[in-house]
Amino acid sequence: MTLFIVRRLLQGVFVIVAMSVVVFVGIYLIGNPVDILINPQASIELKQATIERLGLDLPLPLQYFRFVAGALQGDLGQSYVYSVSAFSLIGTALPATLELAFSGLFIALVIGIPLGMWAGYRPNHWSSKVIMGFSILGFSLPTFWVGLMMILVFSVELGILPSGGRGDTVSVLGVEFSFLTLDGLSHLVLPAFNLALFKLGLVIRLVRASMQETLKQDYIRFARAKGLRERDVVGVHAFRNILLPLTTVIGLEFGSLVAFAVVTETIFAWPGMGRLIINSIGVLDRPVIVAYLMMTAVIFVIINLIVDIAYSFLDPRVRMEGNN
Amino acid sequence: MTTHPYSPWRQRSRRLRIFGRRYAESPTGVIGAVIFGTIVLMAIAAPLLSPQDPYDMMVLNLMDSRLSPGEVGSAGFVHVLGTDDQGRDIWSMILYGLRISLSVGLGAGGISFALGGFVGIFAAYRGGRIDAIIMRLVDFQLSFPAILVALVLLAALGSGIDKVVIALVTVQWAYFARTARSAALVERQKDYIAGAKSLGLSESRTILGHLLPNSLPAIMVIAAIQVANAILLEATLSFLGLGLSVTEPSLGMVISNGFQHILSGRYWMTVYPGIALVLTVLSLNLIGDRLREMLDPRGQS
Repeated sequence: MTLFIVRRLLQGVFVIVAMSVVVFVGIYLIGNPVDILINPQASIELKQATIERLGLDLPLPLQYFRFVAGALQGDLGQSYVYSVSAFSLIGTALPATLELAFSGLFIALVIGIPLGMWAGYRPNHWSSKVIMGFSILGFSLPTFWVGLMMILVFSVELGILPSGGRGDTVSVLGVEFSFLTLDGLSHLVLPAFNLALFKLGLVIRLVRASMQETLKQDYIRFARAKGLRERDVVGVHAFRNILLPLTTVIGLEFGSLVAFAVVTETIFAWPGMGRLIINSIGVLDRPVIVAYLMMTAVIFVIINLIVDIAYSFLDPRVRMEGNN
Repeated sequence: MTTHPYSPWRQRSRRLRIFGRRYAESPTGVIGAVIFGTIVLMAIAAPLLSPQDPYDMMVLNLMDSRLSPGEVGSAGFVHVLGTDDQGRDIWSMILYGLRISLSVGLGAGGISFALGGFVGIFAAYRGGRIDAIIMRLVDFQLSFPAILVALVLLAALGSGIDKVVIALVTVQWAYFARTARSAALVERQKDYIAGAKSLGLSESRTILGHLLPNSLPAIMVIAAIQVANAILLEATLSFLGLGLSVTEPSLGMVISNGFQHILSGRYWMTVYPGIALVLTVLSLNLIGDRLREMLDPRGQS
């Protein structure tokens, strides 16, 4: 088990290193940092001084080394706009994004699992066909447009839900949360549903496929032969085995929810890291962009690690493989 | 001279007819194909179907701005879907926007198809270490969500049609490579490849003339879905202000333009362009779904 975790940790470190190289190449080489960082109207002496101060005249491997050394100390430079450390800026926006992503995931699972199980249990029933049609629609609807339509219907026409912002928050251990107040919750509903819709179709399809697969297994036939109620056969025996493939996908999809929150946050003016990165790209606030990308890479690695460990608990075969 | 009954051309057209007939067995597949075909025709005929060229400054009149659907503008024609804040006819903007959205989607999809397809088949043909390296790269690429990869690239490259296409291809080639590889791995085992090799055909001829055509159906299935994804991703990026520049107004940008007016209740600037986008993506997904059904032997039940 320890060996298994250590091996996965090493893979995670490799992903972060690879990401740092990609980001470094992307921002420092493809875009010209001199043009981005220095006012084009500055005098040549000033330009030269700035280039030297930022180390932009050093050989590339050395520049990369300085970048990594800074990153390891949590120092990815100062935001040009806010004049605070880019890392802490991302850090303060992170809880809002995580709250949104968790809410979206929760909604997608609570709605998607029962619908998917039903569609897999009775694949030829008319209601299952409706559910599957709905899931194709879920793939095809542009998330950002659905968000706009939600604002149009619930905020503009009906006027029952706010169109943007986080509302009142409650501070728990120094972190602000919206879902603990009624006002905050009303601000959270639209963005969370918007983000959930993005994953709902996928959850339905996945659960349906594994449900159909599971129902063919011998243990389901045994459970039925034993005279168990159909409710227990499906709700206990089939349900447990659906969780297995779902865990992996949930992990991976949670990462993509964090990334896709960029869109939802922009529409609903949700003050998370997604909105921060879009604003930063708009004004070329490079340290914040780099900090966001590195932060997202780290989140991805952590999620993958958690998924792998959870998987090995759920499925002993994976654990055995790690030991050999 | 009459065409030989067994000429490859005759055979191909016969196979195409059989394919068409099988495809038409599914009503949703037919609906998808009809809608998509109509949309493509409308985009091609945009100058004929739209009452004004929305990007010709000479015909625009600020007096016509923010007309609601059905109102008659100063030029004397009815704005069926209303106008935006600069007096541009929304119906015309949708038609011209479709042109850009479709060309970016099909262009990026086509390049990814060629690039990913070739890399995947090459990996399957060669096997061994080259295969392992390529597939590692594919896995690494696919472990990051598309929107994140596109964000990184556009943050570094800036905006514009060429940069968006680069970003879309970077995101999508890996899907094609994976599918092409798995299809080619199956084909490679078959006798005709061994036959081609024993005839002493060159490597490139074996890959291009034999392996590629036979792996094509599997790649075609994901092509429809990937073009839909490309159109959707481009619209999203343009909506965020990272995609195309203002001189290349795709549907995403038309919607983004209307976003500022949504709180004042001018729904037509976002609702109608959005419906056009949804119909385009939905019809492509229906086509892709039907193709997958036809190819997947388990889908016969």
